[in-house]
Amino acid sequence: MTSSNDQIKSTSIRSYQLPLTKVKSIIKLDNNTRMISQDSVYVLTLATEEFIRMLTRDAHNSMKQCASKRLDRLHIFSSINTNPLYEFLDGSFD
Amino acid sequence: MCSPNNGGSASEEDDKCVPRAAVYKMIKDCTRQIRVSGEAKEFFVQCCNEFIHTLALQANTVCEQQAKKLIHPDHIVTALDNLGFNSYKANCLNAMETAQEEMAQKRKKLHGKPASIYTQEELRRQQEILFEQAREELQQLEENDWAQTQELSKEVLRKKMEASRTDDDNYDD
Repeated sequence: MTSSNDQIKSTSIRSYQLPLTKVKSIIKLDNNTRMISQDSVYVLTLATEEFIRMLTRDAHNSMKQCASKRLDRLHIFSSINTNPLYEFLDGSFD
Repeated sequence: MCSPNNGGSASEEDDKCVPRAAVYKMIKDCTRQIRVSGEAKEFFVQCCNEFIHTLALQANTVCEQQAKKLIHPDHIVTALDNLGFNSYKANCLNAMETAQEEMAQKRKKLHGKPASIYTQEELRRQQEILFEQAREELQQLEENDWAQTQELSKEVLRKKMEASRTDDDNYDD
């Protein structure tokens, strides 16, 4: 897959909303990570966006169950504790 | 870990987070009229970063296991599987395909080279001929130069000899 940064950015279908460069710099924070292709950063960004959507949906459901009027941190916490997929988030925060 | 911006000045930690505005926009797209607390927004950002780290780490492991040096999109997809996020795969792959099609179309438009009537081989052969011609011309120029220089030298020598002969004559007289 050959592509350049510019070409991905210039696609008219804005299929990603998070900036690729930011995501890449976050990935690079980990010194053990090897080089990552631009396409991979793109796919990772898409996955992250999907993650946000799913977590929002779960937190929203949690909020509805509490009959709350506002989405709060607690609702996100609750989703993390109930969904095994979010186990990696467990213990990362105070 | 990212902390809320205190004092209004951009902290270095903020640079290592996904932009809050982008995250919040996505949340709003999902929840529409629901109000979201500031703390919750911040928490979403932190979860986001954590996800990126976890996925990147997993992809790195997959890449290592395949003894590759560069992380490839396939590694990301496998990582998603390993972490249990297979449902994300379809969305990612679809979007990638669409983006690739778009790029291919754009490439055609931007780099619309008129298709050459010559093949690569033919072009290379023509190039070689041109180089050869240039080499020959250069050689000819150099030979001409050399011949000219020689002529000049002969002329100078001849004049010197004439001059010295005249002197001798004078001396004899």
